[in-house]
Amino acid sequence: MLPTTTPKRPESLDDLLTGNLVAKLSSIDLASKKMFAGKMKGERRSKKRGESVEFADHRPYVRGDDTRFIDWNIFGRLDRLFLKLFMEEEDLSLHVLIDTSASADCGDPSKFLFCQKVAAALGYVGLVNLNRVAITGFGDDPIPVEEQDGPSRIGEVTASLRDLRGRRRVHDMGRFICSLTPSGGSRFTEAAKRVALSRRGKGVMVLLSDCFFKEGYEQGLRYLVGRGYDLVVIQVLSPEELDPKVGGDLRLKDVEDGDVAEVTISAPLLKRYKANLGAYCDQLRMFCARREITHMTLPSDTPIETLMLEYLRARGVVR
Amino acid sequence: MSWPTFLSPWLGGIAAMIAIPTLVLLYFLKLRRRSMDVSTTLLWKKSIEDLQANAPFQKLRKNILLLMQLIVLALVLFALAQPVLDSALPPPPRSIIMIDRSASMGALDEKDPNGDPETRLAHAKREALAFVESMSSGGGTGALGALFGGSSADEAMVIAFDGGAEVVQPFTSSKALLREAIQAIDPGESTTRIEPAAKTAEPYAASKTISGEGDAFTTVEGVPIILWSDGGLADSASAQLPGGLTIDYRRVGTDNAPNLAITSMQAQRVFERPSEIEVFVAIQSTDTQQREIDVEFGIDGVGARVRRITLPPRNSEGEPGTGGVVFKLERSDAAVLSAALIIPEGQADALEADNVAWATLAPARRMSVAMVGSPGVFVRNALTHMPLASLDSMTPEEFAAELKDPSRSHEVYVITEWPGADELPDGPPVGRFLCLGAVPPGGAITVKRAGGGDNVGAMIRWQRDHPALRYVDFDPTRILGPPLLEAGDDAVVLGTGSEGPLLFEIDRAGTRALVVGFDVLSSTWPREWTFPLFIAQAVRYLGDDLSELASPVARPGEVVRTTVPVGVTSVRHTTPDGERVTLRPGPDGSVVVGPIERSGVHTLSWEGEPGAQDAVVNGRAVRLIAASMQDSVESELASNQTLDLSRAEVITSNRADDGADGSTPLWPLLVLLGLVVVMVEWYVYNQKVRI
Repeated sequence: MLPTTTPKRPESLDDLLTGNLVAKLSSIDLASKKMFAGKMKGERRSKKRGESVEFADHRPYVRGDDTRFIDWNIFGRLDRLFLKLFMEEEDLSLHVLIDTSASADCGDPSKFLFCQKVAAALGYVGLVNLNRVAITGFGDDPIPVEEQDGPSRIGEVTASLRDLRGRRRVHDMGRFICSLTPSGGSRFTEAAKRVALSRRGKGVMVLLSDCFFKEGYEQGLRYLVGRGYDLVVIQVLSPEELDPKVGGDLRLKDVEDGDVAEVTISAPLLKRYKANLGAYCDQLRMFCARREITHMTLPSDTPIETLMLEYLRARGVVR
Repeated sequence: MSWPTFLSPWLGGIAAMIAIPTLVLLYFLKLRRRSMDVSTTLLWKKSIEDLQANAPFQKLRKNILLLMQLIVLALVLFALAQPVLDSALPPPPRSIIMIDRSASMGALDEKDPNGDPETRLAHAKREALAFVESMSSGGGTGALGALFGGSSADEAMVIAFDGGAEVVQPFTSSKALLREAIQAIDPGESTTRIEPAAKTAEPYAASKTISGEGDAFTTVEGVPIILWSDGGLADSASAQLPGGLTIDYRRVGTDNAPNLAITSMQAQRVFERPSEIEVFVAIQSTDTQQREIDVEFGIDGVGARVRRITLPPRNSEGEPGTGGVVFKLERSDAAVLSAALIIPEGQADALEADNVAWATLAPARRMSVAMVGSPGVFVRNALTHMPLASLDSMTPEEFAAELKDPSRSHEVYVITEWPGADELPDGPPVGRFLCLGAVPPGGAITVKRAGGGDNVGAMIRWQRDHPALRYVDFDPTRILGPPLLEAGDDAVVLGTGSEGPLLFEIDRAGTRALVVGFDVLSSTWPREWTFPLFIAQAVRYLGDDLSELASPVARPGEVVRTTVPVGVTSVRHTTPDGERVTLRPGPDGSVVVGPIERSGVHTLSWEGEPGAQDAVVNGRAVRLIAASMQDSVESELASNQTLDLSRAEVITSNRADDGADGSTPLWPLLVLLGLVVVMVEWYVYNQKVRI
């Protein structure tokens, strides 16, 4: 709940992913409930029939077909020309959205650091499996001016690094993730709209945020899910937000917009707060369920390994 | 229902004017809250709104602490105004209002509603008037009275008492009469005695059992007595009260009222110098501080001397500090002596009536002396030169005859020869006798051997300090043929000769005699200068106690009995106030004066022959009677919380020291209630902030 007093900012990918984790991540790949058409050859089965080694079907030969794919064994038995069809393997687009608002930089451990680690882990999985990976930070000021020379910047609410492919781009991804700095408000709807409009192909989109948007999350999610993404919402909350350990007469100040709430912490108030938090999360979950959005709420102290290998695998985000 | 009254409404009001706005103002100030940055206020705001929306009394809940603090403040302010609840029961249908008007009720230690000092009696009268006002006038009023038939009016009688008791108003339901009677009660200077008052009220106040038809008995409850007094009853231990009395004691007065008082004034002659008179004035102080005051001594109303005296404070057991001064004067004629305490302006003295005391000094009395037998020329000469009223000679027979007459005309008899034993069959008669060489009959002195013979004796030792033997020297005296005498049980040997006791004093059952055992004419003593001195001193010694130096002092409330010469038909009694009352003496000359109401000098005067110690002024015989309080108990001004009377049921509905009369102070209850509210507030606050 409280801003992280001395936030430890990662400087490189090594700060985000440990060697042990990288080894474990190497064995998993991204998955999608939907089968998207890729743009390039990849390792993912496509709807298209293509040139992979995996047999898919036969079809009668028509003139013009590549004679290299005629099944001569069938011709020998039936004396008719059939063409062997193989599965096409294409790449998958992974788009990770990281909330870079000031509220993300709260909690102990920091929610933002958790989001960075998750983004790095997912990005790494995507890159090593030859998927196209895009990372987008959204907020008032996702990347400080002095660090804006590399990645492209779309508007003022998002900063993205797109079209990463292959293992060698891992460090580029890492640098971008490390350059994101949380500050200001979120303006989620605006950011989602811009991301949706600038999409390049369908794929898996993972939203990493606490989802505390005063303007509401509904419209933003509608923008994102409406463009055909397989959307995964990982709501990250700090342990202090889940179970506040404060008391007395307080003047609570919102770190994003400076809004003030004067409260006298009491047992009924805390009870009511927890009930409201539960209701808020349930509401988000229901919203996501209705739109086939994968949703999960995680405390920021959840081990990345557990998340990647258990939770996301259980929900079919990775396999 | 009776509303509480406030003893300090101004204090409470002023405090309320300051405190309540201050408290509300403090609540206008915002609470200093700890500032804290949070990721979002979204859920907190919603929680507060939910909590407030769910509260049943949102406004009240918001300000519950202010509300409780206002309640606590109101309770404390209410307590500060000292509310008292009049818990007195309504007056009974019939009651006896009994008001103590004794001297101590004149103490100025009560306060009227304005806070000015007032006497206990004025306070008691004010309360009694309030009691009268609270009595039902009966009848009922308006429709309710008509509907329920109304009630009969309450009745009361008024008795004022001090040493005696007086019904100043018989039973009546007229409040006007009762008010008038109560207001007419004057302060007295007498002591307080409950017995006469209780006996006056007995016919109405005592419960009685009346035999009815057959074996049935009916108990008639007595009328309750409402008694306003300070409880300083002189007869609380000895009073023989009628049974079945119910006394509702309403105490007036305060403890420790500082009072200075003359508690005794006595005059007596100096033993060594009979012409000198010493006047002892005893003074007491109930003050808790040491007091230094002047005592003015006056003779015949003229200030003669002033002495300063330091009185110690009352001791830890509550006993007053006492002291005394002595004034000396030489006086042989009548005088009015007075002693007065001079209390400077501004110094505390609760009761004024006991600051003055009087005593009357009787004129020197001249005695009538009779010589019985043949005393000889020396004795006659010695007596002749004394200032006597009369000096007569008589024979033993005449003496015997006079003894039988109850009204003797002589006080002292100088006897040289006793009548025969047949004339005095009962032994020595009652009287004062100087026996010279004549041993009185009766066996007080036994004659072992009669005087006579040639032997010469002398006095060896004698009581040189005896009033009759003062300055008498027997050394040169020789006695021819002294008798041999022996003193009996009633005789005291004053002088012993060479062979045995020769001088005796007999003092028994009205008989007082100085006996010279030897024949003075057979001695050299009559020719010595000490002989007439002895005769004069002996006669004065024998007769002095018959004449009182000072008339007895009467106390207010007492009845004085005195005797005027037979034949006086009218005696005028003039009080210190100048009021004149004509008294009729009885056939034997006895006059009853009083009861004395006021302290001071009361004068009895009549036309005709004066008594032995009466003065004559303008042709009228005058006798003075001094009346002074001189009552140490009454002057202590004790105000008792309770009355301890046997045979009477005493309900002490007197006030507590910090409350009003017959009322219950509410402030302890209010403070307790405030404490409870503070604890509830504490609990509520903790519930609010508890996590």
